[in-house]
Amino acid sequence: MEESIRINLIHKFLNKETSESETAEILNWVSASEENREEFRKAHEIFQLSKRNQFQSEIDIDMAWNKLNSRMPQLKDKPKIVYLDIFRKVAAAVLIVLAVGFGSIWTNDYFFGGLKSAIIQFEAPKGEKSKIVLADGSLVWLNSQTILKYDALNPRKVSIVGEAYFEVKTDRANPFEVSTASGMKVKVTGTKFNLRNFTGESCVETTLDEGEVIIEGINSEQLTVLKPGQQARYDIQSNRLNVSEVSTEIYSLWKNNELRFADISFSELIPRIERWYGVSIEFDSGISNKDRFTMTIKTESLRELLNMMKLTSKFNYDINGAQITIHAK
Amino acid sequence: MRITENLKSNEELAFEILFRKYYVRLCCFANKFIANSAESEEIVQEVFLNIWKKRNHLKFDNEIRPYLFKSVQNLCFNFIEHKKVTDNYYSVIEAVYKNQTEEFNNYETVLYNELQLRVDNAIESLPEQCRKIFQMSRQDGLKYAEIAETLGLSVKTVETQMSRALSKLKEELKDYLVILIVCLFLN
Repeated sequence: MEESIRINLIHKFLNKETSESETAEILNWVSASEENREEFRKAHEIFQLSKRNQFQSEIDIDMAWNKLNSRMPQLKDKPKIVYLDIFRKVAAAVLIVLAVGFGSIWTNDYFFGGLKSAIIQFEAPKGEKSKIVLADGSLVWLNSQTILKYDALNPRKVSIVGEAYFEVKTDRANPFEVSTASGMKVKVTGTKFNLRNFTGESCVETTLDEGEVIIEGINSEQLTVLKPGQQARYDIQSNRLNVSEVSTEIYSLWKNNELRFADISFSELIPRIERWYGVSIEFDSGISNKDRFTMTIKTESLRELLNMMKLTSKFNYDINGAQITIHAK
Repeated sequence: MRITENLKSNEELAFEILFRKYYVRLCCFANKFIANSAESEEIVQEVFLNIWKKRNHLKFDNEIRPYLFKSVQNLCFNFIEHKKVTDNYYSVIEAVYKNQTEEFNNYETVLYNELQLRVDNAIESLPEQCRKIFQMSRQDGLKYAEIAETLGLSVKTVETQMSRALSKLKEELKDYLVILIVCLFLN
C-alpha cells in the first residue's frame, strides 16, 4: 500500500467509513508487523487529538455526576439512629457476635468505649419486608412499615412497632423480651411467634407457633402464659388480655414471599386473603362453601385474585378501599 | 452509633472531587478504544461505581490515577472482546493495542499535552480548503461524500485533500509521535 493512500485509508477506517474489504485489508496490514501497528498508532493519535477538545466540551460533567450519584448506594448517617443497609446489617451483627463472644468487659469498656447504650434501629419501608439475624442468632422478619429497635449491648431486648415474626434462639438463662409501645411485653426463652401492633391499632396481637411465651401487662405483671396454637389479643385501653385458639399459620403468612393454598374452602380462604392483602372481607351466607381452591399467589393484585376465583366460583365483589364485600350471584 | 461511623461525608466529597478531576480525561481515554462517546461514558461511570463500592480499601487521592486508567482500559478491552465478533473495527483496535498494557502512563503527560497543542497549531496552519475539509471530517463528523456534496467537490478531491492534511500533520508531529510511541515501549 502506498503511504498517502494508506494514511487516508486509516483515517477513513477510524471514521468508520471503510467497506468490509477495506477493513479486512487494514486488519491484515496491522497484523503483519509491529512497524505497521506503530504507524497506525501514530495516525490514531493524530485522529484522537484533532477532536479531543470538541469531545471534551461535549461531556456534561454535572449530568454525569448526578447520574453516578443516583447509582451510588446512599449513605446518610443519622446521629443516634442508624438505617443500615444489608452490608452493614451483617457487619453490625458480626461485630456484636464478636463482642458478645469476647465477654462483657471487653464489650462495654473496649469496644463501645464505655457507652451506656447503642441503639440500633431497623426499618422495613412501605411495601418491603425484611429479615434480620440478631447477634444471638434469633431471626426476625419485619412486615412492611415495621420498626425494630434494640440496644447493641443487649440484643435480646427489642422493641417493635408494626408486625414481626420471631424465631428466638433458646437461652434459658437469658430470656428474650419484646416490648411494645403500649407497655405490653412478651418474654420468651426460645420460641416462634408473630406479634402485631401497628400504630393506631387498638390491640396487640401475639400468635404462638412453637414454644412458650409469657405476656406481661403495663406494670410488668404476668397476664398469661401462651401455648402453641393460641393467640393473645391485648387491649391497650383496658390492659386486658383475651386468649383464643387459632390456625396460627395464617398470622405469619405475610413473611413468606408467596401464598399457597391447596384444596381449601371459601371460608378457610377468606382470613388468609385478609391477612395477605391487609383488607377486611365481608361475605353473605349465600356463598357456596363447597367450591375448593388451589392456587399460589405471588405478585397478583387482590382484584386479579378475585377475578381468578370467579372463573370457578359464582360470586360478585365490590372493593371499597380496604373493605371488600362478596355476594352470591 | 460508633459501629457505622467509618463512612464519613468527607469521603463522599473526596470521591466527587476525584470524579470531577478525572471523568472527562478518562472518557477521552476510553473513547480512543471504543470510538463511541456514549459507551465510553458508560464505561467510566462503571469504573467510578466500582471504586465507590471498594472505597474501604482505596484512598481517593492522586495515587489512584493508574488504577483508574487501568480499570477503564480493562473494561474497554472487555467491550472490544465482545464487539469484535460482529465488528472488525474492534479486531483492528485489539490487534494494535492489546499488548500496550501501559498505554495510560503516557496519557496526559506534559509531552502529551504539548502534542495536543502541536496538533491544534498544525491544523490551523493547513491551507484553507485543506483545513476546512479536515475540520468538516473530524470536528463535524461528516463523511467524505457529505463533505464533497456540501462543498460541491468530487469525493476524489476530498480524499486527496484529506491525504494532504494527514500527511502534513504527520510530518509536523513526527518528532513528538516518535518520542511518544517510544515511551510507550519503555513503559
